[in-house]
Amino acid sequence: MTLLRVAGMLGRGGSRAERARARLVAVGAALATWFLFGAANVLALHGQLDDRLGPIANRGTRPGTAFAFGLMILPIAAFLHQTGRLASADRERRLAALRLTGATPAQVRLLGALETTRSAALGTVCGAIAYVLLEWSIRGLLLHLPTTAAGVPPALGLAAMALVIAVAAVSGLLAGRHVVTSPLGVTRRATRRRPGRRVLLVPVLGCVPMVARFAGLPVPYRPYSLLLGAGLFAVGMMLSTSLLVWASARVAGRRARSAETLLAARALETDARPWGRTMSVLGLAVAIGSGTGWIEAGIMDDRHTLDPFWLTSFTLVDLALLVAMAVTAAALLVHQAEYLMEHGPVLATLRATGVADGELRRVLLRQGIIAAVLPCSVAALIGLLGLTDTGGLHNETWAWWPVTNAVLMAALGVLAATLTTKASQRRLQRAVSPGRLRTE
Amino acid sequence: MTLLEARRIEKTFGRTHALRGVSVAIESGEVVAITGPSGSGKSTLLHCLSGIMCPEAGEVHYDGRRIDTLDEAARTRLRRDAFGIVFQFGRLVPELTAVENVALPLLFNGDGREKSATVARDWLERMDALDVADARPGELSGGQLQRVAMARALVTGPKVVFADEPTGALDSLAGEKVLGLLLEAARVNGSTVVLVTHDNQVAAHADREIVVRDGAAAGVVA
Ligand SMILES: Nc1ncnc2c1ncn2[C@@H]1O[C@H](COP(=O)(O)OP(=O)(O)OP(=O)(O)O)[C@@H](O)[C@H]1O
Ligand SMILES: [Mg+2]
Repeated sequence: MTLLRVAGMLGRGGSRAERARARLVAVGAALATWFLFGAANVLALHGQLDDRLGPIANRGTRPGTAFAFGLMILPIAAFLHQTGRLASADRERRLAALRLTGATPAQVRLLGALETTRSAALGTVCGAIAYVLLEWSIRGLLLHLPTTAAGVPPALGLAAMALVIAVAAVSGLLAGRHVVTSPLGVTRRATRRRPGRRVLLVPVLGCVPMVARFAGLPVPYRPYSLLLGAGLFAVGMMLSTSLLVWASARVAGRRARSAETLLAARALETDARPWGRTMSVLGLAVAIGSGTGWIEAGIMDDRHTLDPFWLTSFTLVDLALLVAMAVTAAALLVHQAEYLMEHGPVLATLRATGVADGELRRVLLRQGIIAAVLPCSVAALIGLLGLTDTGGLHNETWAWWPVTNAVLMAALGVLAATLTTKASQRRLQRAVSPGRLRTE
Repeated sequence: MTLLEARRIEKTFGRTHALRGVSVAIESGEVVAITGPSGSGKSTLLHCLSGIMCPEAGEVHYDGRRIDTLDEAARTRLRRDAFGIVFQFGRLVPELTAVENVALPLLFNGDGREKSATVARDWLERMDALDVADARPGELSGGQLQRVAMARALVTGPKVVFADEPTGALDSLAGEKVLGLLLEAARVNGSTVVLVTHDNQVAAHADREIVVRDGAAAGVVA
């Protein structure tokens, strides 16, 4: 197929950022494959295992564990989605030559999607091979577990790989949406609009059953309608995060007293969607983390000591949350790289006119703070309130923990969002070097 | 009195000798045009004079002080306090309105939001661009962009205004107008102007023309 051949040819060209994109997409796909394989692996286990293995040991907690593994896909999807967009303007510029020879915009976008899909496929296959090899060697050589533990069922494994590649393909197709290419090769970002307000209806709708229950009204199909409501609420809040980020940026921009805050807020306001996407995943991690506070307090309240099962479980949950936040932060890092690439000449100009490095760094930092504070606080609050009565505390000894935990989680979320600035420092330095004054 | 002076400065980029021993002296209050063919090193000279870059050899003096040996922080301070710089394509921050772009240097200096906005509007009016004060750069024409960029460069009352092809992206009529506004404002301000251009018509507005060829000052036309 000629389209594939063209895609192959184009794959060899490309800027540094574009090669970085290919590698990052592959890494994201490999990571996603790992977690999905992990989920499949847990589901395939038989019988009772050592308690020290925590939630994997019991048959009853395995589906939940597998689900948690599956959830880890969300931050990775955000990461993939963000990396797929990295330097998409570069790519379109490169592909603009094709437009001159008569390719339609849809075909050009398809080429972009093919590129992303190919990288994702490569990453998935490598990830799968690495997982199987590692799992096989750990099981055989270290644990000497022959029959009670089974590997990844081939059908589930293949399905997982197909899922990852499909997600990457869809994300790749969407990536070119905001780039306008004319056959003349002029590429610019289409003006980005404010995120739609209608999504707010979704979480509001989700609240209806819960509100009805608290008001003492009859709620039909009781457990299911409540669960559905909670699900709608969670998804709706995630979808509304862009709006939340946009609103924070707007308020911050209006009240900004310093140039740094003004620059940060306005950049965020015009670009709320990518921040919102990643913040929604970060928020989910914060909400789950803050909800676990009740469960932990309830169990400590009950038993006063921790048996190995719970110790492992708590540790695993915290570890998973940390990994989720780290992956989300990586997605933000990628987005920040894109911001620096796009704004390089403008930032270099500011630099030339006497704006200090520290001030530019503060602009980046404040972007993270403005974007993260509101979503993370709301998420922590939802986690705290949503799970209020699950713990069922009998006495007050551990009552301080859920609130403390929620505050810690929100702080951790904001920290994750702002630490990326530290990591972007070198890139910022390069983006504002005097050489960038020459490029148009 | 000599305000700004380069003494035999040299600058290379890899194998390219962009400047090979240029010497220029610019008097206070003067309007100087730096002209020369493309690639002759005009922009590089401007960047060295304005402390954006440091030459590898030679010296740059401003107001009796050697500036090419200052560290980055000190040169940044100098550019902010004493210099105003205009580039070919305006290079405004795309997310900010015109008036916010002009107010930005004042905000960075710690002036309040209201006060800087008032001063910024004042400068936009002088640059004949008050009608686009609340528009974003994406909505402006090339001439409007340059007028806003000039307002941004002049708003802090700089001692020296550097302009690198400020009219390069404009047709000659719009270019004349923009240049006229810049020179008038600089005269009122008492600012020295260093203008890079390859347009003879533009250079004709200057008190003096310095011609750069192959990285060396080839002559001075009074
Ligand atoms: N950052 C850089 N990296 C590499 N080479 C550079 C850099 N800056 C300038 N040069 C080279 O130095 C020489 C002088 O460049 P400069 O931009 O000063 O010329 P110019 O006179 O301003 O040209 P133009 O009229 O086209 O703007 C050119 O050969 C250019 O390629
Ligand atoms: Mg030049």
